Amino acid sequence: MSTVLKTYNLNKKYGSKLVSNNISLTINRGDIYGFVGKNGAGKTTLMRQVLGMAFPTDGIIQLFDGEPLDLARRKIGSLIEAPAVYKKCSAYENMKRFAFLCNSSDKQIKDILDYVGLGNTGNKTAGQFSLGMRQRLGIAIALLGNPEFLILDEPINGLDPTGIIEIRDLILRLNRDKGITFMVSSHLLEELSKIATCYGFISEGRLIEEVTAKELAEKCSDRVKIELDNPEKAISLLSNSVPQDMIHLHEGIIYIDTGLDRTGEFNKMLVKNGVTVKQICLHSIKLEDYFLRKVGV
Amino acid sequence: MSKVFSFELHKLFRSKSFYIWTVISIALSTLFLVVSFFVYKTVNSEAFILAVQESDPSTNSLIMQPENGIISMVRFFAKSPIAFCIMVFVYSFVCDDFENEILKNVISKGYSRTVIFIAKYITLLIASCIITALNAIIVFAVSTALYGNIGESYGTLIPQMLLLFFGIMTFTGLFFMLCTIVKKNAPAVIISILSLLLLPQALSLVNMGLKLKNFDFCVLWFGSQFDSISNANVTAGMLAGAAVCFVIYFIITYIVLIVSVRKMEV
Repeated sequence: MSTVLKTYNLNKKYGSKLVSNNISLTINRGDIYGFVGKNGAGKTTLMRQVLGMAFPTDGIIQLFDGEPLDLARRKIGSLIEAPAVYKKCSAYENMKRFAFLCNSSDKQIKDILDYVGLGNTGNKTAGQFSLGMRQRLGIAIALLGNPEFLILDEPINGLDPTGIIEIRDLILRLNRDKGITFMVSSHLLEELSKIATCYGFISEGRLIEEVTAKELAEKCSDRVKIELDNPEKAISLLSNSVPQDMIHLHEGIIYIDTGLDRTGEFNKMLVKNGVTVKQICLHSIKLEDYFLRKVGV
Repeated sequence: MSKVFSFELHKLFRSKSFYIWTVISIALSTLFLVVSFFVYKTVNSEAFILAVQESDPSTNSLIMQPENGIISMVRFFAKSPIAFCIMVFVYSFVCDDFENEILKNVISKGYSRTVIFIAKYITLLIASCIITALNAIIVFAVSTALYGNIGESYGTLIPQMLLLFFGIMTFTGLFFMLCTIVKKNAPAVIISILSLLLLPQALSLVNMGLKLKNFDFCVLWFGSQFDSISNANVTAGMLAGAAVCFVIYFIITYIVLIVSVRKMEV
């Protein structure tokens, strides 16, 4: 499968502070990659390095299977932090200025503005736009030049529910209709879960885990939760009837990914072998809990 | 580079501040000229001359010499506030990008900061050329109309005019360099005005302190050279000295600009 972005052991230091710590991630063509982390985890720093706004201290960035970086970046559109627009200019004038960088025609500008829902703003200046409209204008500017890869840094920050739905739908349409690959950062995992096809969790500059949406759903699905007094003995007993990789121990509590209808059987077997069972029940992890566990709070 | 240059040029010609400050500079230059003509007329009126001659019989019949189109055009570079107008325009044009964080949109398309700032620099030099040329033409035309005399060309006129234009370009470069370092409109304007006012004073104090007989530290200030060649009685030696000074300032400005831009590439 062709990759749009691949990083190898990427490090970034500001003074003595390591803000990107050995990050190796992969984004495949067609993905909507949800980049998840707390504020200050290093999401924006990584994106800035990919876009050439900051230079890595160490490591390699590979775009579009190894194309020269300055040429590859012509195929990327981005919205980093707040949208960078001329507040005294209309949506069309903003687009017209940046169109010189991408050889985009007037027709393409009008089509993009219609696509993002800003086609009828007329002479209204960007300074008079709502936050959602400015975000959409930022995305419109990022769409100039027919990019194959869009990097969006917290695009739904500060938006009301209507704005969030608009941006979310726009991302899905662009991915579906134009095949654009996305890297979207956010700390709102619930919103991201509605669009992302894969995730990267980052904490304190380190990439903790990369996982597909399907794998994440499985990890957050229902499982058997057993609180008891002797977890080690319980695990050795349970592994006789359940595959070992389905049994997880976390903070003294056992979780079993299978056997949701065998809780009685587990309870009986453990009690019979002298293990005191305090509680046995079905449990599912919310995405937020998974996120908090991964990035640490 | 050509795409970034096109981007900057389009921005220039769509920028209201370019047209506003061009008009303001022309209006102020014309106003100065009209006021100067009015003073000339008043001071050289028969009644005024008679009044002055009563107290000082040695007074000439003409107290103030008339100007003409060419003389006014040469003198306007030093007399008019064109440098100030260009300064405010440069800061408005450049700081707009810093305040709106426009640079990240351009950098993310694969252009380095160095290329971006060189494109801005060239665009600003073009803008200064246009503003200065328009001012020079209008001052020439208005002065000719007021004094009824085009004036006569002289040997050093063309090199002098070219050097004065180059001087304005050097001013533009200085302002642009300051703007790139400070990044904010208001502080950059304040620092520029203070520098323009205080630097010549500081050099005068150095003169007074060191009391060197054969050297005047004031010649080191680029503005002093500019003033000295903005009149009709200029020698080839003065032009050569000014040219050297302008070139040195131009080169230093360019180097400081590139170094400060490279420092932004973190």
